[in-house]
Amino acid sequence: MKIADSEVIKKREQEWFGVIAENLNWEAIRQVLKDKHGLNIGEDVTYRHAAIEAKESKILYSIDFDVNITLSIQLDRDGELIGVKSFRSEGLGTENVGEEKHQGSQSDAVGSSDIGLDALEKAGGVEKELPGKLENESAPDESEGGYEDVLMEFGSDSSGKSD
Amino acid sequence: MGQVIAIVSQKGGVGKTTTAVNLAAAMAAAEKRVLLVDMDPQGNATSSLGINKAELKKSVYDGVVGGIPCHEIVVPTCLEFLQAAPARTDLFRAETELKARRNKEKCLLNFLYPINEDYDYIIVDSPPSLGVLTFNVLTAADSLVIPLQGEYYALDAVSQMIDMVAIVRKRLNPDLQIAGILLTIFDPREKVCLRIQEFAQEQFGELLFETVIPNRSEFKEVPSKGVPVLLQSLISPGAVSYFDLTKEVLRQVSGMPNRLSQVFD
Repeated sequence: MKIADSEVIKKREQEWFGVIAENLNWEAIRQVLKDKHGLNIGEDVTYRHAAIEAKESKILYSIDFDVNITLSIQLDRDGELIGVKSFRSEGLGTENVGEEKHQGSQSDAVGSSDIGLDALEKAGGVEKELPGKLENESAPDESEGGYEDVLMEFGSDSSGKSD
Repeated sequence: MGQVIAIVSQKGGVGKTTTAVNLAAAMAAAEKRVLLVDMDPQGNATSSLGINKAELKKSVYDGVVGGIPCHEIVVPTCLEFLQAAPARTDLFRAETELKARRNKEKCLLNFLYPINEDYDYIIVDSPPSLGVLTFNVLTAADSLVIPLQGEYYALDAVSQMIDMVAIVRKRLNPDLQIAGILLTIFDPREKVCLRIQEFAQEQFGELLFETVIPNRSEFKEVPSKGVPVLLQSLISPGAVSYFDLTKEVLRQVSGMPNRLSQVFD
């Protein structure tokens, strides 16, 4: 038995998420990422998605963002992780995230933290399993958006042209 | 380091697969170590090399989507220096399955990286669409060969692809080059072909390869025999055209930056 319009609920939820996202203390978040993980994120932070989750009988708001971060990942010829460095946002110098030869996942390399790697991963900062196996994560994130963005730009560029 | 040369066009029937197979074969005949990667789920390049798709244990789908190492996918061909990463229809699933992934455009790049040192050239045949598979090709490629069939719609397709390359450079693959535009299925007796050639020379200038691939029945016949055209006859006009193209392509791509080495070094 449907007792409410699901579209209205979804729409209002998204508006509510937007309010929360707009009021996040980014200075504090940046500081946590820097202190706990040695990561400096860029100025360009884009809201991606949000959801309500339940964890241990508590309601959580899970809000995903895309953030710019420049990571330098070092691996040896055997594919083993040597280190991860995060460049400062102004592009000067680096901060080590983990520099020992490492055979485990990056979560070990960056160390455990209160906010956890999952949160970082959701924030678009790092990938969970690093290059050892040369999975998708090993490719550098120098791109500005995915192929959908390319298609969108292509579509808008050519909209004024006659076919 | 294996230079990745992709044959791309969002339009079907312009000679992509014929070009990929015969360019790869001509390079292999010149004793270059070549890998032909079939990224078209129709798997025509795979069949053209006499590979029985029904007998394959793994295909390029398992590598690009499933993360199986490339060396477990590649199979030998009728030419000593040519190997193939074959495709079957399971690759159709990749369009859907890759969409939800992060870095979905880089799956082919990651698939090819570990075997980069094993080949001089990696030739990629691409699907006739602008989906995630084609963008994987555009992201992994060092350079592109864009076939131009002698008809007006094909001219539009090439212009669109050039525009697309500019955007891909900005967003996905900054060093992507166009090795050249290749007139294919060319019949000098047809006025429209000559007009297209003239227009292409004006429009694309030096990007247009001097070599022209003629419209020959041999290109239609050899796929059923499972061999590249040059194995059928070394001196047929079709084979000669691909040898000429190979010389031009090698000249064009020599010294070009290598995507695989740049990305991971």
